[in-house]
Amino acid sequence: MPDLEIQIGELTLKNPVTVASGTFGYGQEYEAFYDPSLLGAIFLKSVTLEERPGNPPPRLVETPAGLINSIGLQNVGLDRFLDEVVPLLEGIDTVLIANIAGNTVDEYVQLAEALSDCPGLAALEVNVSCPNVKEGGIAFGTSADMIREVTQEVVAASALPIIVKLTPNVADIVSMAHAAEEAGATAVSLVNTFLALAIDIETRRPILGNATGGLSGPAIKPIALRMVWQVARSTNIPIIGMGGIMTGTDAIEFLMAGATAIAVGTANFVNPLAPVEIVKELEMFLEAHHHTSVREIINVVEG
Amino acid sequence: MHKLLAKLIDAQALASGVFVHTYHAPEISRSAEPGQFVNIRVSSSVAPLLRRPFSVLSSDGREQFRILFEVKGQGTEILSRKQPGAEVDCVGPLGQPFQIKAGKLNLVIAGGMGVAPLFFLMQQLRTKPYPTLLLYGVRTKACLYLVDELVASGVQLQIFTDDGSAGQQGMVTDFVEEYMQPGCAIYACGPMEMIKVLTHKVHSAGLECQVSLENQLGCGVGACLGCVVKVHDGYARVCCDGPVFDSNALEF
Repeated sequence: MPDLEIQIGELTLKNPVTVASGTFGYGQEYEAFYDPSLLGAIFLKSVTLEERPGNPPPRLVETPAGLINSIGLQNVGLDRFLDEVVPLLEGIDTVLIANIAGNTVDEYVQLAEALSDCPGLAALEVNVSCPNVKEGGIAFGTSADMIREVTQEVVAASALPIIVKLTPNVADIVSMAHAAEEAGATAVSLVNTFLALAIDIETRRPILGNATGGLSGPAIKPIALRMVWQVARSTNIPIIGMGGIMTGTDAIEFLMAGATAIAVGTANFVNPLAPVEIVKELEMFLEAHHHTSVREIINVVEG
Repeated sequence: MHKLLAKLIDAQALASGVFVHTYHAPEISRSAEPGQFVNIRVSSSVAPLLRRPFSVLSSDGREQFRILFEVKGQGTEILSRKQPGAEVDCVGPLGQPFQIKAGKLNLVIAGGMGVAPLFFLMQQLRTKPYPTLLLYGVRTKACLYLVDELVASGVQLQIFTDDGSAGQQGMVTDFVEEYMQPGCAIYACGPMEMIKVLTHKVHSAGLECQVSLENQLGCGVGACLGCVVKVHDGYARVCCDGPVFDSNALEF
């Protein structure tokens, strides 16, 4: 059996297959299908300081090989997250990573401080890339200076490893990853969704209640893969690669392009077993190619 | 909740573009309750990407369940071309079912294809001591489905058509007040406009009802928060807080 274990800074993942924030709730919804402890890590749904009702519906539009969403970070807020959500996580035997989103640098800091001592959490993912909220989110993620500032402050506020989740809606993804690396992030997640629009031609209005949303799914995979590859070639920061991963082949492409781990997002909706099937397909690929460790296929693309 | 390959054992065309499929899937058939749905991946490709939800039309409680659907787009078109013997990727049963209430009369109100989950409900109401009256509204006579089965099952039926081609001319919501009575239990499914008007009339009469809603789903299991509708204290997920809601919880 090939060794699937990977290391991201001080985090040890039993395998490189994780699930993306916002697509897996807090782990409970998929327990009917498989034991979430089989995953390398779970990126939990975003938490904000205050409760957020989320965006007005409609929140979803299906597109060719893709899905546009504008959920708007609906969540119960920090206090209830600590009281109600954290106890649910007990018993999930894998790396659990909270995803934090703030309107201001200070809010990111408060969230990071409050979650640092939270039992069961192994790391924090800093969401500077949500396309569906007015403040914070993507407004931070499109400026290298803001990424640097948020990352520095959060790293200083928390003893946990910090992973910065970047938006692809920028001219130069490499400079964004550089900023996170310089500011002390342990890893970057690449990529969040692509800002997108769908129009109802009868009403001549956007379909989504929030007008724009974020595009995910196989439609974005080649672009996400290119960004992972570019960042891997120009930085030394570990990458969690994501964007339209549906199969083991997709996952292996991201690993070869330079991702140390991958996250399954929209595929969870299509095939609830996708993450565990990807683990199996990865194992079979490694065996077929006589690799003893998954680490042998990470960042191996030349040219 | 199960994810399995359900074998299509019978496919009937009720009209052009309208089908009843019968699937062999004991795990789903045994546990499905009226108002619940199955989420079908019609193609292993990414076209279309997402699953398609279908109310359970009926279940024999042992091995087989049925769905009723109209071809509306790419997903239902692909499903409609499947032949008996095909194995179909199915997740279910999903969602909150109707709660069967003890009322002097079961008033069941169907708009168009909304008859599907109510058909299953009426199957179960048949075993109860109180009578069931179905108000079935459609555009035109050709859009009435499963009437023979309904009549055979002993349901009292009142039909409404927009064009008067069968039953009473007009919308079911134009006449619903005539059929409401104190202590009746009301169940409904149909287009959102119908549900809105109906709920208003039901509440005005001092009654309440259970309504089954339709929406674009993402995950179908409550994780993505994409399929929400407005309720009094925020948003509720159609896929797992519904699709059946108490009408007084909803905000229109």
